[in-house]
Amino acid sequence: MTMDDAVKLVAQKTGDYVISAFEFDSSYYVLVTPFEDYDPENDVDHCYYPVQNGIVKDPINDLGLFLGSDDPDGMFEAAKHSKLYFGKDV
Amino acid sequence: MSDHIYLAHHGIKGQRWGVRRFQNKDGTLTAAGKERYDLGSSASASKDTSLSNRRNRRAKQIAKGAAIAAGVLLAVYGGYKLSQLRSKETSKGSSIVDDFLHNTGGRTSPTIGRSIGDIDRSMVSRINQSNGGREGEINCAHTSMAYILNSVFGENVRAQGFSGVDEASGLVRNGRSKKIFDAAFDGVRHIQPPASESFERSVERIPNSSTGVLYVRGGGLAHFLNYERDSAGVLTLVDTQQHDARTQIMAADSPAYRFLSRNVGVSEILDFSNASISDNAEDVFKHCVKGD
Repeated sequence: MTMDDAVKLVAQKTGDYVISAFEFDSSYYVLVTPFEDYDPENDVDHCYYPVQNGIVKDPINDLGLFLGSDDPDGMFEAAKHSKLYFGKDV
Repeated sequence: MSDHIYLAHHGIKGQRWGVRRFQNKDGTLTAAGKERYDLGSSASASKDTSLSNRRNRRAKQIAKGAAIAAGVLLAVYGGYKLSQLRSKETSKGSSIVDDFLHNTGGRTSPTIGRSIGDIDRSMVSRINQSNGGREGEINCAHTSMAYILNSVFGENVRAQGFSGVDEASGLVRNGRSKKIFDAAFDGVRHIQPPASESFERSVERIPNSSTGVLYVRGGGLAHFLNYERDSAGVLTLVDTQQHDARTQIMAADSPAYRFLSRNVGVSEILDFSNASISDNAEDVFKHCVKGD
């Protein structure tokens, strides 16, 4: 499964708008928002959906995702290099 | 000094500034403190929510209110600011939302600028119970507001999950969640550190004996969480959106705190120490918080 496939899965399951996604430790993490006019400078209304082995897991807030990781700094570094999807058709 | 604003400090014989009866120097509880607060036991949680305990707290609150009305100063300790509580109790906005808030499950003991040992862990863990869906994962503004209402204003509310109606109140526009605090409260002090400033330098701007909200950002992470800075300047972060107890209350030497300090910046500090509830608050509270 590619990252684009994971993004499509999350978008179809949630109906939300995908902001970005990144890969870490063989899983994808897709950041979504319910807002079409999401403003990354002001909005906090987003969360991550983990996709593991093609299965979309329960969502988790951004800080919780990193703090719950065995390697929070490594995961956060990967997140800094997320692929942006917002405003694009997925 | 006007007769509307006053601050008094009464203590106990033998007390020393900065020395607490139930805490060690590092903020951890002494054996007597652990016994007093009964931390970590399941009995503590059940006891805390019991009807008798609620009645006791309510009775204390009523007694406190009566004393305030009579102009009698209660004993205060540390950062406890009676003058601020008095202004909150008598604010117009407070009376407007009185029915809503006071039907949400009783009241707690309000205090500004708590030390880590004084933070009510069971209250913190109860605030966000919207598990399983994204509604409980994108409601950090709601959970932060619930903590302020409980800790600063003595209410006993939980956060509502995100419902997309923050704007529906007609009070929140152009900035969405960031705006709900100013829509619901007056007198919030906004401190905006420079964007390039380090986390540690920014949190030094937080006044001692204060309680508020931190808006942190960095690397795609954007989050509201609460803070408490006690009278000795010790900072504790409180994240009531988290479901893991290890990351709900963060001392400065905790892994969660260190992760934040390394990776994000403080976009804004909202100090609620002198805040009151605004006239328009009810519309905001209705979809941000709820009772048990």
